[in-house]
Amino acid sequence: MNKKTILFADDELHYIEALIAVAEAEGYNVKTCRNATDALRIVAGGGIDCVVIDIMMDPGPDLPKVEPHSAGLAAIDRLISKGDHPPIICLSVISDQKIINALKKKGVLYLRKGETSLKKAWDIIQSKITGIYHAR
Amino acid sequence: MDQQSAKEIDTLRAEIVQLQERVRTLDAASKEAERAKTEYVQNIAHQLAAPINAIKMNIETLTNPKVSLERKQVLLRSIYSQGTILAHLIKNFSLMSHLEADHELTGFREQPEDVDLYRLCVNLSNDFQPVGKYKDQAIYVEESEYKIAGFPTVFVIKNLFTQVIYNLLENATKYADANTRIVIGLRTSAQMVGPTIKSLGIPIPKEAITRIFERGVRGDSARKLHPAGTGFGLYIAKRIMEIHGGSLTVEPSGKSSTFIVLCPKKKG
Repeated sequence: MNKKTILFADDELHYIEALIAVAEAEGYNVKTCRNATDALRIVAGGGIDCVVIDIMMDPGPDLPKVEPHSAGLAAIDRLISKGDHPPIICLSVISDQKIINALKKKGVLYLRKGETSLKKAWDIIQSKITGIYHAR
Repeated sequence: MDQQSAKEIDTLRAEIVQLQERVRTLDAASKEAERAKTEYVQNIAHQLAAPINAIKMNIETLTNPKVSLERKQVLLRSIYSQGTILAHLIKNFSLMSHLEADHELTGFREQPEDVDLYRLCVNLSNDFQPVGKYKDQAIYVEESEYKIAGFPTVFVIKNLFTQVIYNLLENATKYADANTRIVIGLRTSAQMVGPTIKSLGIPIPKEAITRIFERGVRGDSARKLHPAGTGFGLYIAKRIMEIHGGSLTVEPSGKSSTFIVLCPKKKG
């Protein structure tokens, strides 16, 4: 079986290196990027089985009118508007329930940095890829 | 109603209109201040939450038997680095109130002492290596420049001075491009000496040379690259240097920026 690939899009990758370490240890390919434009380009390139994306980051050149405070959200909207996209998980620090509910409506899971344990975050990411959730 | 009263009423009416306008302006200003405060608190929360959560997740990963030992060593180094960063960050917030007042060096509990510049810079650059690593940035201290100058010492409150270099290195790792070197050099003149921090990344426009040191100011491109940030780092660093009788300036040149920290040389 081919290795599945997870894309982590976060402007501060050093804050999620534990998650990356676990993904690699569990036998996944990991791709990373630091802005919303790169995230969209990498997904467009194909071969991504799951996108884990932050909200606040540099929009990059393809999203010139987007505010950095919501660049991740803009990228998510673009992915969804294109129709066929890998599962998206939003991993950020925001606590604004309106934004979180809006994400839920779009079928995007929201995990809050600092609240979600690593184990839970990983279980959820994996379940999005395999379609099976192992509650531990 | 006589003419006099009618005139008075008109005047009063005009005054009321003016007052209403004034209330509207004040209301808008207060809403703006409230919004700025919320944004500021959110920024602080974000900046504190991110490293704490990273530490928590790293510790969790250490118990995962599938993760290799090498990887765990990296995570351990990162925990230490995040902890150091967190401690400095908290210090920045507490220093803000201190530095707002016109403090002099004697106003601080800690006493100035002789600090070996080279050793301090090497230690701090090591703290930042794990952060820089993710962008393939390497932090170098130009040993030769310190050697030529006879490894100078400065007479400073070590804790505060460390905060200056820390804030500059934090900015450097944050805003410098991936795959670049951050170089800590040395600048000396007849009366002054101090480290320089040079990095390659987002250009600082000439008109922003003084503005970036103002309280709460963040450059447009800095904001774009990293939305979270308080705009306190450079302000605090400059204030600390000023109360030491020194200075903090920047020399931008295209994509390269060199921050120059200068302290008075010890007399005698």
